[in-house]
Amino acid sequence: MANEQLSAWLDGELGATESEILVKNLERHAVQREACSAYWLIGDCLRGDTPRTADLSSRIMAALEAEPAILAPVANKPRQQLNHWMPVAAAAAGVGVAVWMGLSLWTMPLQDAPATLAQTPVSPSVHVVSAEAAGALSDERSYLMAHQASARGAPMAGVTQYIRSVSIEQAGER
Amino acid sequence: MSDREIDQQLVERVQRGDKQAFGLLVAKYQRKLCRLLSRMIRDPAEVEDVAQEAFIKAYRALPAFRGDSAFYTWLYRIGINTAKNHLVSQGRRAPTTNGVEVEDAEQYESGDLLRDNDTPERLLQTRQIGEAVNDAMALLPEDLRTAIVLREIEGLSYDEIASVMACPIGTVRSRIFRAREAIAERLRPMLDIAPDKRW
Repeated sequence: MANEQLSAWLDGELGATESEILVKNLERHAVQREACSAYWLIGDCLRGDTPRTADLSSRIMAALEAEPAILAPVANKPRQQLNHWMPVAAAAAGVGVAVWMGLSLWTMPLQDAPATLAQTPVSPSVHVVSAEAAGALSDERSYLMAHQASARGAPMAGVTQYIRSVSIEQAGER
Repeated sequence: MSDREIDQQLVERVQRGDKQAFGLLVAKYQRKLCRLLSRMIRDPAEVEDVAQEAFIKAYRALPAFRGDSAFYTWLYRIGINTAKNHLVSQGRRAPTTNGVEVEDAEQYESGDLLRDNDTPERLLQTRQIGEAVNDAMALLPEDLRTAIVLREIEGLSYDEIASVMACPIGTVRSRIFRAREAIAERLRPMLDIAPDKRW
């Protein structure tokens, strides 16, 4: 790894990909890490911030030897990106559905619909049977209503016309 | 990439188990943190201890760091709290009237409080490092010196330096690197980094 690239990285002048590769490689290159450290020191000195304490890097890294390595899940970024795009995707989906419904209504053959209904064949026999059944029911009901007054008083007076008598014959009773 | 993005990259490396990336954050911010702490604690040895404690606390808390604030702001807050706890444990009061806040942590001049308590060795080392940097700067060719001054002191980007110096960005990049290397060459004997002491 060239130190010139390292120097550009410190100044924020490397692209994201290049920068990521460089940072990854720094883990294995102690000499480059020291160069980095020296460049930062030079920058601080030039800005008038000369170190007044000893270099703490070795001391702190020695203390961290006993610490377990951090393995934290770094799932923040993709989730943030997803959250960022979700409203846009939802809006696009909504517009898509609205357009699709509009197009469906527009292209529907409206004139043909009544004609189709009119051409549906009707079965005449069904109508005849229905009329006969309805007539029989109506006769029976009117007969019961007419004779309601002459019916004997019963605990259920007034509802007699709605009662149908049935007989149950069980095997072996007779 | 901004400075904050670079820090975030290093933080994410640490969060994936790369301890050396944390060493880089230490190398980058130790002087700034010590400068901040020296406003609260006078003894340089205590400043170093508190700085170390703050960095270790930061390392332990790093899994919870999500980058909502800049890393250095977060680190400074840990540093200030560590210093306050340290002073309380020593039976001393943390400064309040001339208090140190994270917001103005980067705006004050170097710690005046510390100067009275510097040991002769520390003063010598500070002076030597300062002199080495100044000497190396004086020996630099004009174009290298201008490039590094525009970058480190004026804070210009490579693009802006290229405009000022009327040269391609690649030349700016090369000049800044060569300037840094020339100064680092002078500093190395002073930093005295033995191979076994490398982190």
